[in-house]
Amino acid sequence: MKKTCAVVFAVTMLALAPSAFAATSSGTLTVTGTVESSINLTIESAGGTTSGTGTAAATSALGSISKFGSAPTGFTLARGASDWTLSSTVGVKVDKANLTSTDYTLTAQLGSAPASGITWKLNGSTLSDSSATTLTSTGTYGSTGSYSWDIVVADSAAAAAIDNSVDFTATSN
Amino acid sequence: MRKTSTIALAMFILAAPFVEARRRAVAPVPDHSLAIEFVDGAGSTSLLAVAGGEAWLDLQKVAHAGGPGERVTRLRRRVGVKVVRVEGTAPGVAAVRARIDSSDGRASYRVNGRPLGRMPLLIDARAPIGSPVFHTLEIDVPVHAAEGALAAAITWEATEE
Repeated sequence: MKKTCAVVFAVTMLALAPSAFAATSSGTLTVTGTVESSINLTIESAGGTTSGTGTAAATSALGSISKFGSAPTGFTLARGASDWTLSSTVGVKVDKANLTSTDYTLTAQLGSAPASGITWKLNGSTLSDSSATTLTSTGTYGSTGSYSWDIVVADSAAAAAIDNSVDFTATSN
Repeated sequence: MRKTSTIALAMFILAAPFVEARRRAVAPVPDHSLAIEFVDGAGSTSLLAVAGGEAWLDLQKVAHAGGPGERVTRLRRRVGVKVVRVEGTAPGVAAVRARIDSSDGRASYRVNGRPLGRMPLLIDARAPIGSPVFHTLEIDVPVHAAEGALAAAITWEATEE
């Protein structure tokens, strides 16, 4: 009796079983690209009244300068027998991204020929507008390098504007 | 014995219509299974190629353009995911999940601000079937990642609720 009922119940349940299905699907989004290395140079500080520090384009205004006047903000003035020198520093930082290089080379070049009797120096080296001068070949990424900045004015130089620009170039080693 | 036979006969009679219905059916049963389609985000400047359930997002060149203090290059793209029925337009909702199927390790990925990993992440619990839903895909490339080819496959799964 019991065995017969169990068999009947099992067969009936199979006949009543619903035809179930799981509705599911998938798709794939493929992402591709090329990661490129890069370095970024910023002027962090300079003598004079500055603007744009922290960027790659900074300006420094020295105002009116004279051998027997006061030194501009951030400068010292040294008087020689036939010339005088304004001295300060320039802070330059180079950051890297996605780059295995461990250090960099930094150069500087004047944007135009200096006025007669005016000499521009960085790190003790005279700058020219015709070729770049190496300031360091072992620059440390992420650290602000401080370079001495001198403007030597001959007593014979004309009383005129001495405007110029210094172009810094960093190259990963 | 008689009681057992009577019960068995009654249950078979109840079950019979289902069997008979399947034998009589001659009209094709609509395929209610789902499919996923990708839709390019409005206003996106990325190169997104779409072909049904497959899509390719080409980030092209990825170069760090952030400030010196930023340690990550972050890219954002709007991607639309549309769950559709293979046949018909019967309404419904589906749960949409996403996971990283493969990655070269140069970048990490987030959808709507939530990080993706190997395990499926529930993106939308009740995505309407037949309408696209747009999501924000963020790709983060840290500055310490090596330069080179970037590649990843993100699998999106939809299950009807």
